[in-house]
Amino acid sequence: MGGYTTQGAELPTIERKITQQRIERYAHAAGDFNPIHLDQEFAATTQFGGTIAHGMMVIAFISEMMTLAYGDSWALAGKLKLRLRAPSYPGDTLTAHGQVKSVEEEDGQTVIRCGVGVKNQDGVVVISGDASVVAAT
Amino acid sequence: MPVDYASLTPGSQLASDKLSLDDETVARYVDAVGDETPITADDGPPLAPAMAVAALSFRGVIRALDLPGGSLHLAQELEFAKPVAIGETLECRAEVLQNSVRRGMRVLVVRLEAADAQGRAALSGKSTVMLPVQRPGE
Repeated sequence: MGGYTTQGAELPTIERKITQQRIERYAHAAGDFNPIHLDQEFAATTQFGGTIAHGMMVIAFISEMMTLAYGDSWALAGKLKLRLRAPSYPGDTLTAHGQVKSVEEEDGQTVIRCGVGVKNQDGVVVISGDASVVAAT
Repeated sequence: MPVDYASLTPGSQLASDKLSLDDETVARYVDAVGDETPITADDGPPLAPAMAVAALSFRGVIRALDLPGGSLHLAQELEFAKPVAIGETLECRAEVLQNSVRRGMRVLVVRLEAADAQGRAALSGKSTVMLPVQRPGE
């Protein structure tokens, strides 16, 4: 479980480049063909001004980070509570990051709570929220 | 047929379908998100990434809601309850928790639950989306 069980510890970051090709592959994989992700002409008429990545794809970077930090414990009892704050565009480089906020004993288990988020290359917060995991015994 | 979003009330069933997490489905997902965590297990069959299980479980909801362009995904909660092996089939059910209109936009909150073939909970999720309110005739 490495060093991610103490308050203040920084989780390993995940960096991922968003491309239109990745968005299209994700649309097919996840079955989400909303035109805001795929139709340039339509997307240009919206408040976003162009196609944007699926929120669930960006959330995946946080889940990948939690898996890197906590292994199987994440799939066993991981929890996420997130707000999607800004869109991600093709060309953006996103970084998922997190920090351990608390480590507490609850009902005989060690619960680790982390602040997590995703930022783009300009430092804009794309997603922010909390994640928790029960430490492996 | 377009979805009549105004008719959705708390408790409305949105989707109930089986999700087969076969090799190809999971591989396509992993390729799309670029997940680099290894799909291995110390013993037993290879496991699907937690978020693959979550994202794919939502396919039925996405199909059922058929959200119009211009919709926004505002918030997402997820709770993973067990690792899911590649090759497993999950039963995914989704229902409406809330449906309200604020300043010309409709806010829908949807709850999803996925269980394995033995009926054990695999994950649950809560999605909040905002979409333009339909006008009569739309």
